[in-house]
Amino acid sequence: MSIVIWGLIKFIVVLLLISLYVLFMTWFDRKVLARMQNRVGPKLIGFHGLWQPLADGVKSIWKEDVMPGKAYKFMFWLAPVITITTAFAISFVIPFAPPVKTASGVVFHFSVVNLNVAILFVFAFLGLSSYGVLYAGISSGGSKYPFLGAQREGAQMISYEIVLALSLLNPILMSQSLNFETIVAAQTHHLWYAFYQPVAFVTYLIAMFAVAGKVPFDMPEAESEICCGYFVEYSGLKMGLYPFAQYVVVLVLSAIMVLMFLGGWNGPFWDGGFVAGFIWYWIKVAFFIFLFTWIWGTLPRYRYDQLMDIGWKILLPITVLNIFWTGFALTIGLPFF
Amino acid sequence: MSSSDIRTLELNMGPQHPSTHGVLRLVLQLNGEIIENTSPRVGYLHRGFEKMAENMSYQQFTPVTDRLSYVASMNNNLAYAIAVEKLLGVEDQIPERAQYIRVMVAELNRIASHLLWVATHALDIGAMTPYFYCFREREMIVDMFEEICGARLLYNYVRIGGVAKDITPRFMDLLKEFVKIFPDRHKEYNTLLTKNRIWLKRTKDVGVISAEDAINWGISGPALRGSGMEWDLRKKRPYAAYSELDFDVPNYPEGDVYARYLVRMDEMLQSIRILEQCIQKIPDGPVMMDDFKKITKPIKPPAGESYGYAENPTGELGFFIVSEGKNKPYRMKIRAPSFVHAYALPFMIKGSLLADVVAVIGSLDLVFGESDR
Repeated sequence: MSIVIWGLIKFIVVLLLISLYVLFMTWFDRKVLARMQNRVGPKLIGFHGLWQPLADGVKSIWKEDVMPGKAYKFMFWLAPVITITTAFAISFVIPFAPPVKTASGVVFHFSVVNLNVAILFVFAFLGLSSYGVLYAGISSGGSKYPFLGAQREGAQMISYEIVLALSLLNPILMSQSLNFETIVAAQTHHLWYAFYQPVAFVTYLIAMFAVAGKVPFDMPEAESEICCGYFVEYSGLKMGLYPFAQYVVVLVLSAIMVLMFLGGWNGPFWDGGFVAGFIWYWIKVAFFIFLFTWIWGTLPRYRYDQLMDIGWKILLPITVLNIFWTGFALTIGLPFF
Repeated sequence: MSSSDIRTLELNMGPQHPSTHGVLRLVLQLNGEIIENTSPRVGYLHRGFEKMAENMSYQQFTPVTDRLSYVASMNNNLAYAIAVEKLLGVEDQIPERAQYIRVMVAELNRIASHLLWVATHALDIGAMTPYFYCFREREMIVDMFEEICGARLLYNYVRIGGVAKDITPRFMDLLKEFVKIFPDRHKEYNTLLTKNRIWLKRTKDVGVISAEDAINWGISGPALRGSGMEWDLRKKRPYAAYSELDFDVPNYPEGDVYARYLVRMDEMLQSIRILEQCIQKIPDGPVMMDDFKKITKPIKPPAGESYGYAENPTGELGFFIVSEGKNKPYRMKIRAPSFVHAYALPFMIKGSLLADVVAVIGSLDLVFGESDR
């Protein structure tokens, strides 16, 4: 019974914290981009515009919710719900801090559920999240830009989730576990997996941008080509849920990157203890979240066919070969493996 | 499935599309994302300039030319002034100082127009940041124009017989500073785009047009030079003071979007070269022919025809004027480069992907004030 109560409490806390994080991120993105582009960014509401996200949120809630006349209403309504639900679902298996051993000897996990197949869970729900986009595209009443956006999203998700999963397979093979905390523990006493698996690290980094749908791989919502793609017909709060879910996915993918490749809460120095672990962990996660914004402000967008070429012709063979190499190294027991 | 079951997707791109730069409407026939057929529909910004010209005196029409390619008003004014001056037969009597000022403002406006073009072209391809860098420098140019004529977008500065006012010492100071710092700023855009791997992938071998096809379609300006033709009216048919100035005509033989991009980027530096020489060479003297100082005095050119042209940032802008000896033209035809380029667009994008359409539109620098007239 206490598991259920603790689970519910954690559920609500994580829900609130992630919502706060998204609000902060909209401000942070705009501020960082503004800094890169010789602009000021949001400034008027609150300290350096810190309350701007709240104002935007209120605006999007009170905006008129327009639905195309020919839209398939149930699907149109369901699509953003699927997107946001799956995004939150993934975040519930991510540990937000190192586990703590309480006085009574029980280990307290800072994730809503400490699944032993957490990575499988993540992939299952990442796969489902593309349904939100596909439904949005199909149900927009024959509108063509959402249709094209959904097409692109479908192709992109299929090709890049494979790369993402195959990249993560290497740390999984090395640690013999699908649980994040075990994988982090496996990296505690020797080098982080990024040093054993530089190739998988890079392929994951690239696939991460494609799965999150961020520049340079933001084809499904390419603003200048298909005018925001799949959510063209959405307005008000329903439209707001798509960027919201995207920010959550960015957080989750950054956290998985840190947990799988960069030693989670282990630091290069000042190691051990909850506080040190917490700080190291979030410094690393914050760097990758910042990286998304940084790349956004720097690079142009790939073309759709080029994205497919990179995924199927370059990244997929490399990741498969890398898995063979990892298996080989583990079998013959190479040093450091 | 038989071939009759395969249908193409008809997609209306524009007139309210973020990348059609105003009001171009393209009806695309898509097979997946591949363009099977395109038909451009222009005219959403039609304001009847050619007919308006028939009911306005020659001086009254100058501000209307501002509205053609509204990002390069000075160049439009210049082309029109040249056309009327040819009609009057006074093109050799324009004061030397006015000719130099014309070159200076035309080149400054060329840089401003090219900057706006790089900015929006990069934005179309998904790079957001160059936009704001380019606007930083464009703002400096606009400030200079504000100093000499009070306006920031539509200048009405180059008039028939000279220019409206003499330039001020502050303008010269601003210009000297701009000429000094611009090459460094130019390097910043290069850093962001020119060698960028994604930029190269998006622009190389996209929207290719050979020199022969480009000539047949009537393409002019940087788009023609991007196909390897060394054709620049400033060099081949010099007007204003260009014959006394030394500059190169950049051209690249590839004929793709990237070549057109490089041509425009190089042209900005050539414009800086021209401006540097102008600062050295500009003589003193009047800036307006005495006959035209009074704007209310009607101009009555003899009956006849004239064609005045200028190398605009977008291409060759021409004014063909037929006069009956009255104070209004009998007929005025405006040769707008954007109009010509818009109709070469289907040829250039056939068989390419949807994302290439925005790249090619961007590379042609279509301005619909000019195209639709």
